[in-house]
Amino acid sequence: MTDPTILVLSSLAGGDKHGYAMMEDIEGFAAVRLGPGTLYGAITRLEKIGWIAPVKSQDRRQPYTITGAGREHLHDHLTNLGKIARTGLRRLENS
Amino acid sequence: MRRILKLLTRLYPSAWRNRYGTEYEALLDDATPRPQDAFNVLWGAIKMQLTSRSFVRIIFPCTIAGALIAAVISFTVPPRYVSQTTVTIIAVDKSQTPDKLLSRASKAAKIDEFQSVNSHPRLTKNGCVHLFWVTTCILVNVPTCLSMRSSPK
Repeated sequence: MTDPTILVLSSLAGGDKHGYAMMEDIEGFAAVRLGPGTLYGAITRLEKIGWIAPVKSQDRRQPYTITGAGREHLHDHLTNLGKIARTGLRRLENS
Repeated sequence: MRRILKLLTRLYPSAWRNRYGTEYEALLDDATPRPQDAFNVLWGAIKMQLTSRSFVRIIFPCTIAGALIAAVISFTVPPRYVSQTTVTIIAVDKSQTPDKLLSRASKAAKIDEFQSVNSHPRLTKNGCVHLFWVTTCILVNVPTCLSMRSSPK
């Protein structure tokens, strides 16, 4: 569960953030520290796909927001991941 | 360290730097730099260069670079196997020894003939090794570039 795109989407699901805020947030909830190259690689891809969008700002720090399509993708992905996690845990308990 | 990271940022494609350069530098100013971040930024720049260029502009230089590296490796690696052949000439007529059957010159001619039949001139010595390395590097390059271009991550 260290896919940077999912981590960025999960971070933005909690509110608009700029790069450094995302980095800190992700480190807090996933215990994963994304490097600057990895973080901006994910941001570039997500913006190109249309799952995140920049928010108007006067600051050098550019905040981003999750779009409707991004929210939908994140929901589907996490639901699927939840199913896998529950199945795996149940099987571990039964074995 | 922060200065090194900012210098490495220049390796990103110019179109990318025009769009994300300012905010990327702001991130580098805010975050506490770590030594592994240099590799992370460098790798990010390589990936961004690969994904922003056309397929031919990626494959062609990679193939040339791979072939050159392969050629250097194949010429520096010493040959591990040596092939040896023993040619035995048996006289059909038991009363005559092979020396009497064949002169020194004709024996040399027979050996030359045997060698030319059993070894392809272009694949002798290190030829096979060179061919192997060059082919391997080209074959490895193509799927690597393809996977880097098509990877969604």
